[in-house]
Amino acid sequence: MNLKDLQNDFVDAFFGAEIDVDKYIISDDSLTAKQRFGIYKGSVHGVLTQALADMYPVCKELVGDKFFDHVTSKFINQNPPRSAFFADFGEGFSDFLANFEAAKSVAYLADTARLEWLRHTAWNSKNQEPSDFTTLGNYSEEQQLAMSFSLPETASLLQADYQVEQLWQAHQEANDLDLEKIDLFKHLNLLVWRTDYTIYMQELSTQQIDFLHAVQQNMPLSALAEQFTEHLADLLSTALGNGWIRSFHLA
Amino acid sequence: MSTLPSPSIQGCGIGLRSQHFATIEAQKPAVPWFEILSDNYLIEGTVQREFAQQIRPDYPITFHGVGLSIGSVEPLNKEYLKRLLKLKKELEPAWVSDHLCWTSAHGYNTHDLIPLPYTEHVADHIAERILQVQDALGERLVIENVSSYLQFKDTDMSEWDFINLVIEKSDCNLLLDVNNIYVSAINHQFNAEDYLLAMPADKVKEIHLAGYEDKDTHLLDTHSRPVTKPVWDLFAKAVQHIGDVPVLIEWDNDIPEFSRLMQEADTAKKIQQEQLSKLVNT
Repeated sequence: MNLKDLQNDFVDAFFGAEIDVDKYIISDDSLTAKQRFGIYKGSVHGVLTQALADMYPVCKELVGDKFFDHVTSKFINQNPPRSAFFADFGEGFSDFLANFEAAKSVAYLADTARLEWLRHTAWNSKNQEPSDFTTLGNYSEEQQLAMSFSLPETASLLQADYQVEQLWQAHQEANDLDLEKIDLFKHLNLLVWRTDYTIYMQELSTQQIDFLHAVQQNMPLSALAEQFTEHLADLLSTALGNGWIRSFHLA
Repeated sequence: MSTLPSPSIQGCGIGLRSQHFATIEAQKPAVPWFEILSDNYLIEGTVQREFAQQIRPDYPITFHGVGLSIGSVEPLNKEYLKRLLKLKKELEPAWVSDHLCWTSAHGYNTHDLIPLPYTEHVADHIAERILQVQDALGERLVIENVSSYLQFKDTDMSEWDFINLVIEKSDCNLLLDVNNIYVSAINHQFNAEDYLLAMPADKVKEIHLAGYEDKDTHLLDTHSRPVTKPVWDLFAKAVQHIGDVPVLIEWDNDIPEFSRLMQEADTAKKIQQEQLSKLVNT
């Protein structure tokens, strides 16, 4: 038996391929080779399904346990984990849901998954030290105009077709938000970020999300001033005051 | 120079899980040490890494991983090893452990513990990889026996002979999971005591205890239940054979309140003390 062939065959079979397991595994009175292999296949899928359930709890509640298991099984077979870092697994689940025929009747499901993935990445991203903004005045006007800013490394911006942030809130135990009162069919601009051990979600105006997108693109202050004109001071102070901008960088 | 307390590991520790972060932060429980699942701490700046940094001055720590895939035929994952070394430098664990199995192949990662055929050729392959890891770590790797649900046609020696061979060839240390011995003994109809008594006592750095589920046709090592009576009995025999080594309670699924884990640790301590007293008195 070649160990490489064995391992390659096993992994392929874990994620959907058919192999002759009798070639490798002993059958006995209590379990056949196929049943014994099935325990491992079930375990591998169980670990990954649980990871997706932990990452996408509201999606799971929206579609129910049975459908969630069905869709995650398909997702796992089509997107087996390639990374040794478990936190990387599950990316792309929202796109998968968006194209999964049987899930299309729940139109807001993919957007909910996108939100839950952003919460997952916020949890698993660096919570960096903020810049000392009190020192901004120490720089010349020329230096300030050439300066750019950064959102927290934990931050992501979401533009969704549905009000999935309220939907997510309504699915939390500690929240008494009435699902019936949510106007789901409304565009959403959202910032998701983490400070210390808490994840925050903030709905933004169109102008605010445009501004934060521009910040994400490392636009210098001079370009931000040009684009956002008389609104810049308000946008910048709101972003700084709420921790949406974490640091500044000299050119 | 390190400002962290010396990572002296003794008594019964508990596997650190994020579900208990708030309790540990608020209560600072009297746990002699925590074992972290190192794979979950390899990304800098994550909540779990910050928490480990936060509690490290108060608690010694050991690392327990899955991702080395020590039995894989694929080359060792250098990025994984690099991050592990960085984490090690940061948290100064008493030791680093992983499993005697494989997790990745063909470019995919199962994130699960898949067993190996037990042959001399496979032992050579694993020993070579353990030596590479030990070179990188600058210390002995601690390898854990896994529970299993299948046996390979190519296997030509017992699991306990295989473990001894790997240790002999690589000079690594052993993390003896007593629950895994029991689970595999039932699943493959061998005598758990034969296995236990064949273990090289002087190489055992740590003992693991956990709970399994009885699936009628086999026992499944789910880490979702209290330790069972037969495993406590086998643990008592392990203490008789090995002596005073640190013990750890693992619970990974259907995780209960932290106080329940403390109860399991108290039971382990009681059994350990009873058996150690017997050793002293003989």
